Amino acid sequence: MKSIQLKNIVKRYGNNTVVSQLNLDFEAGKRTILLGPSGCGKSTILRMIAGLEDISEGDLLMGGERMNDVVPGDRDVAMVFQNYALFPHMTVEENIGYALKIHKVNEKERQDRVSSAIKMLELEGYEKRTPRELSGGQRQRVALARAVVKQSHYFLLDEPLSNLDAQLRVHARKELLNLHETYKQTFIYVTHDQIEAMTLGHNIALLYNGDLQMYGTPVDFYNKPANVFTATFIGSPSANISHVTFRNGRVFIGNQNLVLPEVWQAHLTATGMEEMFIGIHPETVWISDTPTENSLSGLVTTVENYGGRWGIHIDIDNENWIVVMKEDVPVKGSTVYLAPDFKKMHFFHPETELNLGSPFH
Amino acid sequence: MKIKEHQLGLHFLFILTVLVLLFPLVYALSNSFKTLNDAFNNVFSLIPREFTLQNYIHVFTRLDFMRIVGNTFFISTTVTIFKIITSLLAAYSLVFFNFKGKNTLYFILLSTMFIPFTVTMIPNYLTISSWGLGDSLIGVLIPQLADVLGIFLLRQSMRGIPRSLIEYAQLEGASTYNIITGIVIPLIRPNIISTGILFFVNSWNEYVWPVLILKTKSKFTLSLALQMFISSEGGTDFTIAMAVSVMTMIIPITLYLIFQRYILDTFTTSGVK
Repeated sequence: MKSIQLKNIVKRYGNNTVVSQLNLDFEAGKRTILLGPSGCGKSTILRMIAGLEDISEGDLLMGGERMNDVVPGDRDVAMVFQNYALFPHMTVEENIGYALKIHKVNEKERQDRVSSAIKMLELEGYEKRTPRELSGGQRQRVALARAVVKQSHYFLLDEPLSNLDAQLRVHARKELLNLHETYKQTFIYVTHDQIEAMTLGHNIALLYNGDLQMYGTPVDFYNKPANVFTATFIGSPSANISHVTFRNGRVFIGNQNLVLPEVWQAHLTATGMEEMFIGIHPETVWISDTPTENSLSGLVTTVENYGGRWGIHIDIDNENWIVVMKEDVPVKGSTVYLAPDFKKMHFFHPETELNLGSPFH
Repeated sequence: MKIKEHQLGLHFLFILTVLVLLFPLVYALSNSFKTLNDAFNNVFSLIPREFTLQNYIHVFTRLDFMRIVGNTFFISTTVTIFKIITSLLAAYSLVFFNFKGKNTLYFILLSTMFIPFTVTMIPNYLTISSWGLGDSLIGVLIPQLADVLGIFLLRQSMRGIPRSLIEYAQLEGASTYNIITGIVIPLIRPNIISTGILFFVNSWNEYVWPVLILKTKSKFTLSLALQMFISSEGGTDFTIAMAVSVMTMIIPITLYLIFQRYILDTFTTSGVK
């Protein structure tokens, strides 16, 4: 399998820059997720790799070769579109065999490859149906079969699960993993769904407004968010971010403060900064209804049921935090005391919003 | 089917409309089987007093009628095929290609639809004559090989095709020719057929342009032949004119009956579902 490299890629529409100076490596045979909110440029990047969009500046290298000016048909990519792009006038079989027919693969081999793809994606018995006669999940599998049958080095997927309902999505995710484990193509997957990103990706590239926010493994994304945006994008609910002041070994939030452990004190003192952002994941805070040492007090404003988990919205001197817990849920209107897990908190630069690092990892 | 009371008035209106529209057709049909005397003495009767095929026989003996039908067929078919091909290509590039000034070009094309035929008639005539194509079927054809109406109609239906279908085909290395013949045409086939019928019937019925160009009887089209029996040529052979009318109608009506499903589809729905 071959890798894909983006070197200083820029995409402009007129005066509007959608992607600016992007450098990214998609490792050969690995699953890389392009993650970001809508309009962040992730689909545009995928389409540039496929050749469906021109590249304004920079180099696209596929398997080491510059491919900027190669037509889509010669890039050897298999792509799954968000709406699947199945031909309504062709049967499942004809849809899957389309690429092979265009490439004039001989009848015998074509049939073999089509029927093995049909088998692989459990579409037996549907060969003669048209897409109109299939369910959403089946259509999605036809789209995958169509990509599999091509046996190309690169597998591009543009939000392939977004048209499926939640249950089917879990199943389809597993299927995608199996598929990739079997063929091990260089896999690029566009999504706005962090769960898909976390579960499918070897690596994740998080984008916002055409800029790369963070590139790393799913574990890093949760444990070491590169900046405030990453911390707020990952996790459900996302991390609590508050502006704090660091002075005399304490962080001040509103009118309250917490004494930091010595390692944090040393780490933050070394940065020489007083103003900063604190980032705390909702799962890393202990709540009790009696005052405890070194805790913050807050008022419970809303309690949300996530099914088995509860989201407690707490007002701490006008800072709104969410804490997730499984039992002993406080009632709305009560006062609670919060003790965060110091090992899992983050501090960010007040202007660049970059992570100031942690003494714990 | 049971008709509800409040629909009675509506049904009466529909039936009346159909009668009004059908009357000239039935009238022409019945008179084409009457003798001239019968036609004049028995104006309002739809059933011939003495049934005769003389009018039809007359048409075939006095004129090389099959040749006239052939001329008309040749012109209409060629015009239709060319208009469909040119419209398809133009519509495809207007929908699926990106180029500078695309919308301006489309606007200019559309605006030509509003130029009356009478304005271009004389320049076209002069051009065709200067090419030495006066009094020839080719001369009738040439200014009609493209039609903005077709570009407009096919562009509308192609806009209903999801762009991702075309992009997928491009990714698989399909050429533009492959895409048009393998994807676009099958997807908008009903629209192409009904647009084609529209072109065919329009061309079949056309009178002013052929009359300007064609002089020799053997090159006449049906509408010119029809005129021969109504005006100066041999007085007013009313019943013969009706026989020609009937034969002129037959082909477009047959076409309509064969393809009516597509025509209804096109005008009641739009795009690819």
